[in-house]
Amino acid sequence: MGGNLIAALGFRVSSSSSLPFFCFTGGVTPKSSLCRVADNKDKMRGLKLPLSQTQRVRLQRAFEKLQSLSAKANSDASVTVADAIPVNYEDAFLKGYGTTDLNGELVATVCGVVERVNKLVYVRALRARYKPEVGDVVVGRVVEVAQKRWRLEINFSQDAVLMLSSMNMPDGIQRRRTALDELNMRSIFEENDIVCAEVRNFQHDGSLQLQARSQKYGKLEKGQLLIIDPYLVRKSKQHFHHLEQFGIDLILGRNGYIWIGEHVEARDSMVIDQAKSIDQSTVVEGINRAYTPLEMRQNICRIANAIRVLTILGFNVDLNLIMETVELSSSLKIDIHDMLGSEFHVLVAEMEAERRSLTTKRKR
Amino acid sequence: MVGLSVGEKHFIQGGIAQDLRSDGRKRLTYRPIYVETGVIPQAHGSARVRLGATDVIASVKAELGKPSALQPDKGKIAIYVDCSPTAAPMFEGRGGEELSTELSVALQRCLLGGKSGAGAGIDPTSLVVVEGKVCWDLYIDGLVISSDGNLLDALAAAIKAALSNTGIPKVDVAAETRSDEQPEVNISDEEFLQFDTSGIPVIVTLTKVGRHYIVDATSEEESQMSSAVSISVNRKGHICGLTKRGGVGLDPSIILDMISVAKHVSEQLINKLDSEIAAAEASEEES
Repeated sequence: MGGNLIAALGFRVSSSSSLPFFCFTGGVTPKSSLCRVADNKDKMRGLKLPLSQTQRVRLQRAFEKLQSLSAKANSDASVTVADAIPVNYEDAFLKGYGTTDLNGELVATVCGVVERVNKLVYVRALRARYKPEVGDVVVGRVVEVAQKRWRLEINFSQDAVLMLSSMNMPDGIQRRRTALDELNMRSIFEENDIVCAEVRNFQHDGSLQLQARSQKYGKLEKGQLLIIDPYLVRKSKQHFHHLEQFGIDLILGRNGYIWIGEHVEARDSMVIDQAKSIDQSTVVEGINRAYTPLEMRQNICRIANAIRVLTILGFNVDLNLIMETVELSSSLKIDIHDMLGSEFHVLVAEMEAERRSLTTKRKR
Repeated sequence: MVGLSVGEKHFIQGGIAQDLRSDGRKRLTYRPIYVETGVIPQAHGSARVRLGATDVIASVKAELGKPSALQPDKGKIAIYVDCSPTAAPMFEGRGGEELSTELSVALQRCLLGGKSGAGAGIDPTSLVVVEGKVCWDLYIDGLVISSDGNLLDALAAAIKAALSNTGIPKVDVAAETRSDEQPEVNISDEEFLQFDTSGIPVIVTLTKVGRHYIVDATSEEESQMSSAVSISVNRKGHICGLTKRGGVGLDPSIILDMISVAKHVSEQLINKLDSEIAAAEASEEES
């Protein structure tokens, strides 16, 4: 029973627009096969949802509608293992990742989408780890407190490093970090803490350096962390969302770690106050006594379930779609746990197909 | 299993106290159960059960053997669980052995009853072919593919589904045999006998976090538990087995309370599981 459990296949329809990836996972059963071009029956089976016959038909119809709405018929861009990559062999080209020369033909070695950059032809795998870019907002978990730095796990091939000097001091003064600061690193972040930071640069050995200089970065408490696939979170202008009507902070980390929690006011670093530091310590004890109020907790759970539904369906996770899904569920008075049932998944797929067809009609 | 920060732990405990867990469930709600039968064609019966992200497979193989001298009228049943390294990297090699033994022993206790065979969920007398000479040996194997908490419940459900899917070949015994000889047996390839699985119990695990119990804990919630009690209940509401895990001691009144909660939860679970198994068998026949 070892071997590959997850066979992922993407159906990329357009590389430039913000259309969603549609992916499914198929378990290894004697019936399904690894890395085959998905026909609709396989898609349904792979979705791991107990769907009734009508729900299956509705879902299929919604997906077909979404596929047909894509601008360019770019279906030749998606490849599976051992597919020949369509390339003009007379032009000089460079073989990139995920390709290999087999019998004089260029063949893909991973399931993914063919990307072309000038002369470079490579295959971008779908279920890959997060690929960082400078300036990305990421959410990570501290795995180690080392000398003058913290090591964070961010779903990358290596642990990212957050230097002590890249953090603002709690009292806000800009100064050199002393040995005492180094000894007190644990009072800032401990092991297993969730931290929000920004990618600063790459080291020469390929590892990542993070920074958390602004007030909006830092430790995240009072909420829950959701882990999804990195390709579902697209780069956008805003990754921090403060949902005023719920009083909830939503941080969409580009590495697929999403934080949903109670709203925390960004602390003003310029205020150096002895009284304030005492106040903060009592607030920390206060956390231990008071739980999140029920109303806010319901909203947090609703948003979390909306994100889970969107990941299962393979849609891009961005704020508009999340809010629409949440509004759909509250308008239909669906219980929070029932959002994870098959009926709601079908409804969300239909809603998205509807919305997409309306926007394309408006464009034309 | 990744660690959890203090803030996250607090959030989980708060959710359980307020009856609203991280995915919106109440304390006594199960995750959606997804059953597939007949996943291993070479076995006499098999099933795969998914409980959220927990994924387990159970298979049943039957072989002809000799009953033990102490119990000549009973067949033999062996249950063994294996944790695959695909569930967690620490299960590679011998790392998963502790958990495997713990799960196997708990399942044996809940499904097979005591040493004399009393209180067994599966009736071993139905496995005998010729008393004292030939009986069926059932080997039930469980495999944990992916672990997100509540392995015991998922394994028990998978075993129940696998047993409903099991077809034991019909055996014709040669009539004329002397009493000290091994009778000749003819195993039919076509006819199969189905097991009667209405008496097989399900296991309900109650995890105590703070002052409340939850059913079907995810691995994050399990990391916060003080203790857990797994109770196997059958359709008639009888308790077939009990296992307690966790380092914290429990007052006897709490255990009695947990037992009554488990009986109440098990009614819905048994009905849900039976309907899922029936649906899975029906869809297996279609395909």
